[in-house]
Amino acid sequence: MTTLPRPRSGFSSRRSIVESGLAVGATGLLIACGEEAKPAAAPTTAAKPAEPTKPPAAGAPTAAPAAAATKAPEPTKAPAVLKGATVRWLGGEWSFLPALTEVLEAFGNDWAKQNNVTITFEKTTDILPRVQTVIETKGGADIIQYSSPPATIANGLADVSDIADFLGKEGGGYLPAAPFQQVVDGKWLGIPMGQHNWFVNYRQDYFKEEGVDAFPDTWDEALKVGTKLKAKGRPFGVCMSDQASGDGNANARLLLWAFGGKEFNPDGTLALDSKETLASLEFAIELHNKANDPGGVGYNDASNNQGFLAGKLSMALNVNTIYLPALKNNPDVAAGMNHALPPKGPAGRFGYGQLPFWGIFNHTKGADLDAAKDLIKQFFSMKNYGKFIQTGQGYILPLLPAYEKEPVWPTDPKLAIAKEMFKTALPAGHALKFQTRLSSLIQDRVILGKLYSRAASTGNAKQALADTMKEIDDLKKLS
Amino acid sequence: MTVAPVAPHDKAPAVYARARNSGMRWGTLFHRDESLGYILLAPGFIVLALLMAYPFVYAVFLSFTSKRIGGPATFVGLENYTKLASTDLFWKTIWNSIYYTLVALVFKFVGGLGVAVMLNRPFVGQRLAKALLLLPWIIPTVFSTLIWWWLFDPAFSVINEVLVVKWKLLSKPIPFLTDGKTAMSSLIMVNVWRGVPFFGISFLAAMQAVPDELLEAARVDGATPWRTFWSITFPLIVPVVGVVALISTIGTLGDFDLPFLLTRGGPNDATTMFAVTAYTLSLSSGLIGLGAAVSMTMFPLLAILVVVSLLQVRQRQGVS
Repeated sequence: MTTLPRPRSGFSSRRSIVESGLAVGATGLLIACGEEAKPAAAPTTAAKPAEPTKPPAAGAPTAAPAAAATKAPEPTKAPAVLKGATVRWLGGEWSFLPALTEVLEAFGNDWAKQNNVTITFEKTTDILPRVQTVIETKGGADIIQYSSPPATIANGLADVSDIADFLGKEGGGYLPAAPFQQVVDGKWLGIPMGQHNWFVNYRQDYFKEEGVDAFPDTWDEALKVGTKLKAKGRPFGVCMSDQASGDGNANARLLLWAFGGKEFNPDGTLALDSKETLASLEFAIELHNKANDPGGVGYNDASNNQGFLAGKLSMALNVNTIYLPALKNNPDVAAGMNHALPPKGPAGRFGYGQLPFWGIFNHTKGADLDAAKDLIKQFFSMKNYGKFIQTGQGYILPLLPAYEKEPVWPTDPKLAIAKEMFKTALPAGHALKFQTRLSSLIQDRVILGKLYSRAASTGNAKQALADTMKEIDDLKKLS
Repeated sequence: MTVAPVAPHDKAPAVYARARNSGMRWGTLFHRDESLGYILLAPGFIVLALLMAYPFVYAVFLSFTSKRIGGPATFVGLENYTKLASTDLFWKTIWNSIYYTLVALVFKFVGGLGVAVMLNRPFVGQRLAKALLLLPWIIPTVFSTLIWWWLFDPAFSVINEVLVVKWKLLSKPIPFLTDGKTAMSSLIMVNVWRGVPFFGISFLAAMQAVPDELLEAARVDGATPWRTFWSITFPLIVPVVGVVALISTIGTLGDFDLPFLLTRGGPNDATTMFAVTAYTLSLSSGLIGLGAAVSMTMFPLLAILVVVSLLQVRQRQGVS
């Protein structure tokens, strides 16, 4: 059989299709490989290895008091070696208090200008996937601002003990919570920004209608008033939920610790399965049924803020993120509300502090590393950082005792309790010597929020605790 | 001495011949259907290999390692799978995923079929109805889910506000997202709302392809509409039903955006599913190897579904 010659035009058009296909494929390949092919910036200067700093024992200040701080944030010029370096900052955004972002960025930009450094700020609301991507791809950011303990991302962070040592000495030695949270395997992996303290936000005007002038001093008394308030459609907004990484962790611990419960023993063993925890859970069930908003078992971090600002809730355990926006947008709520220390339980009064930190990714090298370290050292030095703390009006409280005499404290009398709390608040898992991977995971997964949610929504404290212990056991196996 | 002039093209014939041969080889490749098919497939295959096959193979590899964020990927064999199998979270994940997928599939099938039958009859505003039907499907899931979240909000549910506060029909709010059972029902409801248009439009397209002669013949023979539908229309759209159900099952089993945005797997893991658990373990906990293992456990289930569905479709096509 002979094959008839194909018409020229047919061949041509078919070849065109093939060529176009190949071109598209090649373009796709180029696009797909583009990121890989991009050359990495070569380090300009070798970094000087940091002197290993011995972390202080929990409970002891890290260094002697230092000189008093000055007021104005003035970035100083760093050594010329920083010229041409790049610092990429990655963190969250303070949408309720944009002034914090302004202070941070103004300082960073001034510092960058003085030192001929390029600085970028990347702010994201869902930081976790971004952080993981940066660590895995070893690029995209140099400095991270993060709220969870550094232990969960320890593989991606550089040792910043030298900066912690400098800042600790300057500020009179870090409070115990700082090394507890930031030191992993003997190295500081983060410089704490300070601590977010959860306190009682309450509608004083509602309470006065019930014949109570100020928020009760104990949980039992609070329950009594709360029962009356809920009957009038003004429930408490205690967050007993695993859907809120901030409030879920904080509220649960304020309830747990007040009744004598704790997550860990100092030797690292679990201490959660105790009669004190059960007592706390039984109280939480009663609180939920009699005084709390039924939705509290599913709150996210914004829920009680919104409920309170809408005038629906009479109380919420939160930072000052209800009051500050209320001053601007809900003046009636701001006028009617006040703050109080967390109530006492059978074991006393406890405060909870969450410690956001700045760390440096360990892929940052050379001049970029020097620049990142210099920026952190300067931003957090007392002469500069006081302005940031002061701008937050109690949103973030210092972890250095030398600030006690500095004008960084909220000027609004309704936030005066901030100064009372800053030395007493404890971080999650505080009985441990240092934060461990398991204790960090328990925070990241909001396991205690889940425990209280389970108990409150089922009314069965024992089963809720048993389920949670099984879950922690599973977590230990997996991690 | 005269030198015989060397014609500049003395060597040319060989060169031209090689070029011609080479061109002919390429030309032959382009001319032959079997080779041209591969050439045309190549770009798509390369893109698929890079964007689909490589991540898949890498995920399979990771599932056999102890890879953590920022750490090395050390081979641990089946350890991740055995660890997972010993946890409640894993079994909850499997149960939730299957329950969510099957229940949603049934409702989407029934709803889609109903919608298709309705739209297959002429009525005033049919085109508008078709356009409106597609809305849940074409609205970005993130956007529509956030609206649903607002409707189900534990503190501010609009539905509860109306039922409890305004109309006083209920004494206490419905715990849409705060109770395990209602949270799963809420998720399924939103999934069905989002999925019915896809089923409906696909079924409608298949119904409109049913030959009128067959329907006319049934009518002439005195068949009722019910009988006509189940004896003629439905058997003819079964291949489409199979493909649509398959696509939907794959999508629902691996659904991430809806459960993540609405419940994040809560309350108390009552709505956690494959993708959410994989995310929680990989990203929230930094255990990438375990997260990959969770994803991989979904693969055999999907593979079985795909094979069974395709075999059934092929069998029916063969019969018809």
